[in-house]
Amino acid sequence: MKFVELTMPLNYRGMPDEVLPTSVRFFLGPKNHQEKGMVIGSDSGTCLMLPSVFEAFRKTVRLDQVPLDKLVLRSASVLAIAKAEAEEITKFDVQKALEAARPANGDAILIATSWGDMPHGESYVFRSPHLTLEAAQYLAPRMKENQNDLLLIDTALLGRPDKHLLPEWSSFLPLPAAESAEARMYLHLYDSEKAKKDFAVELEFAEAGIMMVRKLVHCGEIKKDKIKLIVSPLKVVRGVASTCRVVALED
Amino acid sequence: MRLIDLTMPIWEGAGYGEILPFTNSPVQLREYMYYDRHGMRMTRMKLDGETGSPFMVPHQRNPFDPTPLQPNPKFSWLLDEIPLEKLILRETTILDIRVPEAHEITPDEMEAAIKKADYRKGDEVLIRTGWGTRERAYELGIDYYKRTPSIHFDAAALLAKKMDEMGSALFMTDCGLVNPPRVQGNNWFRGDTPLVPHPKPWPSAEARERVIDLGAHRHGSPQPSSYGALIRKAMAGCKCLIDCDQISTNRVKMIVLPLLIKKGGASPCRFIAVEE
Repeated sequence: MKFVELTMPLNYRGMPDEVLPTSVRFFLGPKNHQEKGMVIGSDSGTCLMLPSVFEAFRKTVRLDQVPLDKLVLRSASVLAIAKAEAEEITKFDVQKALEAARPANGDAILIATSWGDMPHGESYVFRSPHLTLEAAQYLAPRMKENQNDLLLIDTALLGRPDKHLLPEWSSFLPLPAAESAEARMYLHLYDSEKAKKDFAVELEFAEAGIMMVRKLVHCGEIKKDKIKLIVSPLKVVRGVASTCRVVALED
Repeated sequence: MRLIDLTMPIWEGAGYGEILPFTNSPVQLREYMYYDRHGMRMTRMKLDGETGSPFMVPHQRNPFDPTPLQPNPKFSWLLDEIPLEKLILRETTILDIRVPEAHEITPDEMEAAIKKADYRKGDEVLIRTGWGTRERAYELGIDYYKRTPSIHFDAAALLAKKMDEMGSALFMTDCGLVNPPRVQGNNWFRGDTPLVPHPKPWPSAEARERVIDLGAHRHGSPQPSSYGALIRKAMAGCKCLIDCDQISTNRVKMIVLPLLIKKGGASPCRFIAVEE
C-alpha cells in the first residue's frame, strides 16, 4: 500500500494562504513566550469546511459529530482537471471529468488541478484556479444524488470571491496582513449579503450537504483514479471548520 | 470494518488546558466571522501542543529548542519527518490494566498486563485502563486530571524496556496524565503546598513565579518522570485518549494523525482504532 501526504504543512515562518482578511496567521510560540502554544484558523492550511459554516445550514452536523466513515478510509474518485494559474474550472471540465471517472455511489470526489503541486508563492490564493458557479451548480446536485458528500480540491479557493472580498481587499496598497487592524475593519464592514455573493460556489455545495476540503498538495503523486482517503480534522466541539491532515492510500 | 474514535475533543475551558502550570495552556476559541453578521462562522483557535489527545515526539520543544526531553532518545523524528507508514494502520497491542481512579500503575501490574497481552514484534502499545471517557472529561473538568490513573516510574521504566525489545515506537494511553498527579502537579495542585484556589496556567502570575522558584519550566517534584522513561524509547508519547473500551478485542490497527507542523514537536492528534 502506498501513502501520499496531501496536507500543506503548517509553517510558523509563514503560510501562503494568509493573505485575506478572512484568514488567521498560524503562530507557534515557544514555552517561555507570553502566547505559548499555537494559534490556528479554522481554514489554516489544508482545511475541512462543513456546510454548517454557513448560517443557513447551522443546524447540520458539526466537527465532533461527523461519522468517521465519512472521513476515514473512504473510497474516492480522482477527477483530473489540469488547470493553470487563475483558470476557471468550468461546467464542461466537470462534465468531462465526471464521465471519465464515473464515481461510485458514496465515493468522495477529489479534483486534482496540479495547482497544489506548484511552488506556493504570493499568487497562491489570488491566482488560484477555481470552480465557476455554473460548474458548482452542475456538480453539487449530481454529487448529492450519488451520495458523494465529500469534495476535495488542490486549489486555494473553491469559488472565487470576486464580488467583494478579492477586489476590495486587493485595493489596499500595500496589502495589509491577516489579523491586522485593516483586516478587522474590513470584516466589520463585510456582511452576510456580501458573503452570499462571494461564497456562492461554497453555498451550492453546502446546500447539497457536501463537506469541502481545500488546499491539498502533492495530488500529482496520486497515480490511480480510485483511492482511499483519510481526512483528519481537529475534533472541535460544535466546530464547523478546521485545519486537517489528508492522506491518500493507493493499493 | 469498524472505526472507533479515541480522540479527546477540543473545547474552550477543557480541563487539560487548565490544570498544569506550563505543559499545556488554555483552549481559547474566538469567532471572528459570525452567523448573525457575516452569514458564516470562522474561528481563531488558541491551542497547545498538548491540547486534546496529544502526540509528542522526544524533541517536543521544537522548532524553538532542539533539546530532547530526555538525553539520547531512540527516535528523533519531528512531526513533519515521520513516515506515514509509521502512523497509519499500525498494528497495536492493548495492555489492559483495569485500575480505579487516582491509581498509579505498578510494575507488577504492568508486567502482568504485558504477559497477558498478545504483544508481537513491531507492535505499537496502547495502555487501556478504561477510565478515560469523554463523558467523564466533560463532567469532571480539571478534576479529571487530579483523579486520573497514571503510571508509576518503575512501571514506565519496565514498559520502556519492553517496547525497546519489541521494536515498538508509539506509546498511547487513556490516562489523563502519564506522570502521577503528585509528580506532575507537585506544589501546584498536589504536594505539600498546593495553590488554593487553583491558578491559571502560563502566563499567569503564579506560573511565572513558579519559574522564578524552580529556575525553569519543571514539574518540581523530586520524583523521576514516568513519561521521561517512556519517551526515551518511543517515537511519540500519546496520552489522554478516551473511550478505549469501545475496542472489543486485544489487538487493533491504529490511525494516528497529528497536525503536519513544520519542524514541530507536539500537536493535538486524532486517534482512530480500526477493527477488522
